[in-house]
Amino acid sequence: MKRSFIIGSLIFLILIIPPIRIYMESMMIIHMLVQLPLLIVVGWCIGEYIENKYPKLFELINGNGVSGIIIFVAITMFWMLPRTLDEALTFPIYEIFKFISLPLAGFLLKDSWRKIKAFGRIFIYLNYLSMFGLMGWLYLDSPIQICNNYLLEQQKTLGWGFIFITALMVLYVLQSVFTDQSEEE
Amino acid sequence: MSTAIGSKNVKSDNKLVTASLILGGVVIAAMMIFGILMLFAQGGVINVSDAAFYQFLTIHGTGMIGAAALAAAGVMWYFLGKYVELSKKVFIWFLALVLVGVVLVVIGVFSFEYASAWTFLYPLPAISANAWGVTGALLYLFGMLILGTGFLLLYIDTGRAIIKNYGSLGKGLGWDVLSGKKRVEDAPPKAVVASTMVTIVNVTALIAGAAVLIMNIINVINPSFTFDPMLAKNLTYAFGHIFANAIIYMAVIVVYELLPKYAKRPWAVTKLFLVAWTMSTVFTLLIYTHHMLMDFSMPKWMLIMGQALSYANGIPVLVVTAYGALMVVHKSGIKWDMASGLAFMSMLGWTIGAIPAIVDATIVVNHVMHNTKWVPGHFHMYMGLGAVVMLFSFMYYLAKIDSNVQETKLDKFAFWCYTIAMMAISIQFLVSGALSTPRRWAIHYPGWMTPAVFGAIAGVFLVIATTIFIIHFLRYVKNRGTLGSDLHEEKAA
Amino acid sequence: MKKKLRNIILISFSIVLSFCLFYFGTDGFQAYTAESARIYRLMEEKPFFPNVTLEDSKERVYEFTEFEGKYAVLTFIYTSCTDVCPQLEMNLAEVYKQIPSELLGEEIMFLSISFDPDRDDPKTLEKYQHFFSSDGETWRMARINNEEQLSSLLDEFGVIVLPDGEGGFTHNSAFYFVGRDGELLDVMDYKKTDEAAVKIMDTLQNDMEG
Repeated sequence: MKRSFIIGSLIFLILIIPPIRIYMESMMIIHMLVQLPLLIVVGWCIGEYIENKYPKLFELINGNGVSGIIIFVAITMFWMLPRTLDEALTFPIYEIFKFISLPLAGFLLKDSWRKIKAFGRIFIYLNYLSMFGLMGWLYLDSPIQICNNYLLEQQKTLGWGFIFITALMVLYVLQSVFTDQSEEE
Repeated sequence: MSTAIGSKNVKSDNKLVTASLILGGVVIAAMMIFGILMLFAQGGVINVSDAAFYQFLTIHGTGMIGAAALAAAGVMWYFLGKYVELSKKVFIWFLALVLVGVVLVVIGVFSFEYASAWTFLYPLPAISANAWGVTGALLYLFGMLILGTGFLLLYIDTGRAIIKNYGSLGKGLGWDVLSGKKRVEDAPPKAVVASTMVTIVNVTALIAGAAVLIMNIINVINPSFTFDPMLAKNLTYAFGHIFANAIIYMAVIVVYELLPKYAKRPWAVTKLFLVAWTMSTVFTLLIYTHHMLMDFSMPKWMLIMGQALSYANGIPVLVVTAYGALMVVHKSGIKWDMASGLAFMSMLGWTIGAIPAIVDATIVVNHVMHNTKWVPGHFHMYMGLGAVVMLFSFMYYLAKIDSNVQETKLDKFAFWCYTIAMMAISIQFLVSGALSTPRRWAIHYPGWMTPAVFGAIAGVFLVIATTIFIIHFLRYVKNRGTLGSDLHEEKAA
Repeated sequence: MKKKLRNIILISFSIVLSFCLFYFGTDGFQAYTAESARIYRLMEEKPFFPNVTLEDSKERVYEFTEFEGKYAVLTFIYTSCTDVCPQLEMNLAEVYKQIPSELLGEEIMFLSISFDPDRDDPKTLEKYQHFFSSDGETWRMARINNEEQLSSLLDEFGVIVLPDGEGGFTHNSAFYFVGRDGELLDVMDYKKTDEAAVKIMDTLQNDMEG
């Protein structure tokens, strides 16, 4: 379990190396769909470690998992606002908040995902499915440049990225509801 | 595998189901009154301001679809709960969220004059020529979103339970029987097949709906974010058509469960039955494009598909159900009472209600008919004589098996009163359509008025009949648990 | 029971926290894009126009203080722009036409500033201004030659200019309304010309009466 902690910290350290950070942020799609998810992965890995080391902690701060998932949804939605991505490039305080809040989101997700059970997971999953579809639509269809720091071209690329993810998510749903699940649970 | 879990805690389950039916029934009756007011206004009998007319139109559409879906979901939950394990907590959340959604919608429409009709077609919510403001639009859109979330929760639970019990949604539709892996005798019960179909189409519809609702909300809050209106319309109707269509597929379960019991004859699942439901699952997802036959910028193939599949859509399930129902009833010496009578009537209403729709789904006819009252004629017949009648049938069924409340002559009167009145209203719409009366118009030329007045008067009788139905159900709720019928023992089987 | 209570408290807390995140993150549900946030922030800060040296289409060189005591309506452009600038300037012309001529030059100046000094020399600017019937007096077009001054101005007024790699720029556009002392009064939507004109006239009238 210590390994997950090391992996998590390692990813985090790589992500904050300035040239890598700046390179990733120079492309909108990598910023949104690679850097941000990786930061969540960092939190997830560290969460796995903490969960084993201090099992009581999560019991205390994230009783039935609902509060954790609410914060997770809030943080991820916050970083999907067209504004925040832009501000992270302009204001260091946003950038710092990004590197703290997203690992925190992943950290809480690790614990909540187990606790909210199949029902909660499906609900959250379907919500993100429609949200990603909508984000793709927004970035592709918007005639105006939504972000100041990125060109319209980059915005469109990101839009297609979102559509691609949505399509994958739909395929995943289809395979999981139409293949036999009876051996599970 | 398919043994029943029905006996676990029937009483409190019934309480939840009755809550959804009472709420649904009362809202349906209230919405009828708005319908009457609109027809009287169109008929020139009363004076309703244009703004108020469109508010009535909005609330009538939203309320009817929402209430019928709510009550139908209750019916589905009741019967499905006998075969798979459903969560009571989720149903309570479902009821609570629907209630919150309804309250927001009502406030939005009446206090903030929101009146985009229930289709909230983009960009109307944001661009209303000052007929309503941002607050009204947001209340309505968020209300719909919360309502949709409630339904989504319910279908996640039904889907989860079906998968847990049968292995997958495909098996819930009986695909393993169709592929020959399983014998027909082991096929899932009809209630499960229907619930699986509804789960699939409605989850799809609700995801599309959520996306288009949030899209509208973004546009209302920040009008500089604009979207492609054609795609928005596609999503809106993918949501609206499927969701409205699914009502009858939830409600029809009562026919499947009730008729064999009354006729004391089994109504076995056949391969044909399973094929029909699978076909309807696919078609229901695809045919919403028949709402867009007049949008010339739509791809042609989609429109042709819309026409072709619309012909095919209702037919499979309708035929196996109507034919099956006839076979079950034929020479069985069935006891006719309110529940079985209404169930049988609903089959008739469904069958004849589909005919005007098929006419309208023909592209050539559609260009002329779609914006006339012909279309309300179709869906009033289909919903009013089909789906909603099934709901009332369930109400009488529940009263019969779970209480000693007796049916009176008044109920029988209400049955005929309802049937004739609903028929009159539907025909009135169809006649108006044939006279080229436009739909969704607050003001009519004198030549269009007569059918509207006729329909409004029929509407009054309809409300009386519906009230009698609901009063009977309320009497049952008060006397719940005083068993009267021998049908009850069979319930757990 | 205790566990249930704690869960309820935790959930309420997380909802409040999420609300705060969005409330502060969008300036009270006002600004969802960086552009609207930028305008919101500008309105809070009310920056002053820094002292820069302008060179206009008539090859006159002067400081911005030349306009002290007058209102000014500004746009930021470059003349090789093929998308938004012509529209921005067309719309500025619409506003310009709605201001009574006796006020022009006396109470209020119009100024289009180029952020592409290399290509926009006075000759180019003069040619450009004809397209919009700008007279070069009450509506001037000018460039800023000093690179430091230019970037400090763009910075102060939150104008973000990105080279698109093909000789053009992508930039945000608006009407900037500057007061008599060079303080930024308002950033106005350049697509709503009538609204902008009404706002300018209201400010001028209030000022002259009061």
